Amino acid sequence: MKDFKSQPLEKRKSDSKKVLKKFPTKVPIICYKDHNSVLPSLEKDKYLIPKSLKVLEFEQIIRKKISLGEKEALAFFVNEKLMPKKDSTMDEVYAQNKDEDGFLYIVYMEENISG
Amino acid sequence: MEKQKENFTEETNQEPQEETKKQKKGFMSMVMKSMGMGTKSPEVKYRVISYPELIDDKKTMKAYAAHIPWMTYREGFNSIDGYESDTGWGCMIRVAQMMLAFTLMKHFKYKMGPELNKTLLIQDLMKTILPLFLDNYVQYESPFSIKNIVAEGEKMINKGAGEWYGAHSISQVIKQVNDKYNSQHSTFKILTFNDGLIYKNEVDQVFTDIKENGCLIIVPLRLGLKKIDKCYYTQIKKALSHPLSAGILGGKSVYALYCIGYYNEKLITHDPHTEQETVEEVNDSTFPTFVNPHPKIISFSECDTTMAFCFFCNNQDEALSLYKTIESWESTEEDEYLICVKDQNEQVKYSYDEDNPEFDYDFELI
Repeated sequence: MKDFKSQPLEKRKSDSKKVLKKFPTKVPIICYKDHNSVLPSLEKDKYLIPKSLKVLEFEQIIRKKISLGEKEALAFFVNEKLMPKKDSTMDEVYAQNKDEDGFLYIVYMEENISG
Repeated sequence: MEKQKENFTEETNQEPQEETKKQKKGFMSMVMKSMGMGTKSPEVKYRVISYPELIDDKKTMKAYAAHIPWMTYREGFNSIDGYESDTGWGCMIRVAQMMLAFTLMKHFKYKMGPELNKTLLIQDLMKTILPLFLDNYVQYESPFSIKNIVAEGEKMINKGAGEWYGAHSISQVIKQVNDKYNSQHSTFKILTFNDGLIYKNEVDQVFTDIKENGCLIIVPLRLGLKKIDKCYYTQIKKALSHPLSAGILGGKSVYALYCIGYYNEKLITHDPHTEQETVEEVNDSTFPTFVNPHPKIISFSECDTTMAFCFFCNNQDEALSLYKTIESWESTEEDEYLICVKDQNEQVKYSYDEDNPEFDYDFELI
């Protein structure tokens, strides 16, 4: 998310520190659609999510938030790779993939089509 | 077209096959009936349609490609919303048809049992399956015609004639087409699974009702934002070389291809981007237009990120072996996982705690 990342690193660092301190059971993430995606955008891009939340649960929540039907294609990426195993916790994903600013960046995208 | 008679076993002296009859009553009985009319060449042994243990030479590769029906753009069919050709838009539909035709070949071969299989020729099996895909027959005559697929696609996801599909959307649509037009003969089921998760209970259910069911499992995935990371190559190869694999619906960017195997670190694919005239029936003169021993070879780095992994199980035992294999993929450390199996789909219960009074940042709490 360019807008979010345009804020100074020090500010982002202190933001993440603050929320981690205040909400020790949650992790801060930034979730947004890829700039090429035609899917609906999320209303907000900053989320605090329970550490114990499973990857699959998180994905289902976002699917619901952008009102995407169960049958439609939706894929999530962290650091250009697919999200880890669906039964990993978001805490694990956070620990392994968080940015230097203390946020975890998650991008979503639909399928590609061919003619 | 002599070279197209290549077979894994030996050249065959095939006699002209009686024309396949189309019946409005679903296709299963039609196919089984026409099986009995196949050529009688008891000296020719039929080899299993499954992935060769290793494709390490061009001859094996070509022979394997010739075993898998080749569907292409066709022109001159009865108008579908003004289109008499699918050139420029139908490639993913043709790719899905190839996968379905190959899968149905596996299905009917299994259902015929080992005795009939001894005398069965690959050409005859293909000739009995192909009428199910003819352009100009609709509904129950050719359940998987482009016309049926487009009609359902329009209803389901608003993708009519002229629209492009992806591996994910076409999977949903062919499942619907099968459910709709194959209801009378429900021994062939299609299941699609999102998010790379295969739910065992849904697959097992297919075999609970009727033991003789065949179950096509499709797992559409997007493997990257721009390109496929190298860490997935091994998993793709494992999926493709699995005995129950029915290939991958994939391709290059905006260019759909049916991936049928790999060779020398490259993917072997059938390419639908050739325009041929539509055919009214499958006979000795039109059959060669469905055979192509010259597959297109592409490198993993050229692959589009969206792929649908297809597996076909003839029975519960095969399904169990598929679970077991996929579970073993999961446990490998050096490569990233792609597909998982789970017992069942558990709907997530969650609640927002947006009302938390202490919360004073602009975060949304989940």
